[in-house]
Amino acid sequence: MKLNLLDILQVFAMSKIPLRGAVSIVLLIAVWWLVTSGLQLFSALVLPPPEAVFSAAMTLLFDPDLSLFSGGIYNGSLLGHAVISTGRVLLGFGLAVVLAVPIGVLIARSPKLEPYVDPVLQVFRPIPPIAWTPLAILWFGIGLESITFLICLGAFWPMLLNTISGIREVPPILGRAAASLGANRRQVLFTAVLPAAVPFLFTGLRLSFGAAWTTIVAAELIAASEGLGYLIMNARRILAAPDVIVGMLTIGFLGLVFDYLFRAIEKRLYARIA
Amino acid sequence: MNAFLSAKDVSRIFPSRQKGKPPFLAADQVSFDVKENEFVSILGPSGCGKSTILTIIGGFDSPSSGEISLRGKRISGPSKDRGFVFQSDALFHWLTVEENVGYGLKIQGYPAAKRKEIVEHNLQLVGLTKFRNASPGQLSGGMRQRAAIARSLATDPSILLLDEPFGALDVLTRKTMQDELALIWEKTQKTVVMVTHSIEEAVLLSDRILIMTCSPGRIREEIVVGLPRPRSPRDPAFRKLELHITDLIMQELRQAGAS
Repeated sequence: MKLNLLDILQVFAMSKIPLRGAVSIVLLIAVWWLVTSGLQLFSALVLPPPEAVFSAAMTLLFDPDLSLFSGGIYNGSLLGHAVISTGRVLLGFGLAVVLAVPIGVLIARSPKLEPYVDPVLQVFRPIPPIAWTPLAILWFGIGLESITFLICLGAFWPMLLNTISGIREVPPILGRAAASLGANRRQVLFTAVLPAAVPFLFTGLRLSFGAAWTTIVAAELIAASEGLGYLIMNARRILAAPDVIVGMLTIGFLGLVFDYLFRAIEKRLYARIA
Repeated sequence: MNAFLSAKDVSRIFPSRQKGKPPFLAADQVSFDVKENEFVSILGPSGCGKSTILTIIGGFDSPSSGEISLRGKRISGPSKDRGFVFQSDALFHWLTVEENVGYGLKIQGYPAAKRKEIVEHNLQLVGLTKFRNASPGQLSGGMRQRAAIARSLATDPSILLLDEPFGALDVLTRKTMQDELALIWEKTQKTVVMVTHSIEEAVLLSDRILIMTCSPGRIREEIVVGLPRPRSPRDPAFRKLELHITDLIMQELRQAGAS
């Protein structure tokens, strides 16, 4: 699928969110400035003012070695950490999608399976990925495998549950119509049921990707020597609150960008939905 | 002519959902034949197993006992041989009208040129050529059903099964659609089994009407509609037959209520 910058911009423009969203963001920064630099309600150590965070961001982006406390302690620039974390998120997320979609389809399409599978799902679903950390280290050691496993766990459940409910919500007559036109079981699934479930699947993708980002800091706590989670925890260790906030906001920003990307792809793929 | 479609002692029992309640007998030893090129309606009040029978002919459900066969071959699942038009909203809403009509042809591997030709023909037949690129969501209910009929006709099934095809439409659209279906049927001479609860619709379109009664679902009467086509509800003979069928059904309902 071709997807260029213009399409993404178009979605931005059409959603009307940016303009109104920008108003709230400006307002938020104004309040933030007011309670810190303006009225001095919080000390810079507890809540650094926006300008301190901005200058920390600039230093981390362009001169990481000159960073106030760090002197190279962060092991690379903000961009480098962001790229590494994004790579890990994509890996864990991709693995989760590849596993969750077929399993979800299987569960949703076999009603006899549900009574067996459902209790298992309900037991494992509420366990937060961070609780798996000790086991992950035991099983996979310290490194990319553990991180990927934890992110994958976090991303797996929303994708699985949305796939199951998405396939279940497809009216049975669509499958019947396809079958009466000559579609075999595989064709019914791929040309009628899955296309009809696309909105649910995309909701699943977006929630799942969000969950992957939510898990990254916990996962990078384990043993990463780079990544946004590593950056945040390292900054906390040396009490560099502005750097902590830069790391947090970078995660938020990346989450936002990818969310728009998913919406743009969905719009492109499913433009004909009335 | 031999029986084209044949139902023999077809019963369908649905197990009860609640414990202690008896199972529901939706169809009780239903037998009938349909000849080739014949238009047969199954008529009866709501919830009388009409759709159950049609669903079994479609191959989406199996009878608890008895069997239905098409051209002597027992029906055991859905097939391109039996086109099915649902009451509503069975179009693929992510495809255009044209792609919907061409869906079965594509699945069955027709070459693109042939597909285009057949789709064109069927769009013309139902009067949707102008809306070929519209998505189903942009069409009115009547147009959606026309597209659904075209989609089923495109693959040239041996028999067309219509499950209350106009049941979800308003009265005026419904009348228009009935007239159009009459025209389409005269052009295509397709074998049709239609389920309906509209007496007028059944008399207007059918060669034969099977009247079903409630709980258990049985065929109570078979009526041959001998009226010449095109038919008009204003015709006294039409009115007379319509009233006769109304009486039959009312009498049946009263008996069911008394017992």
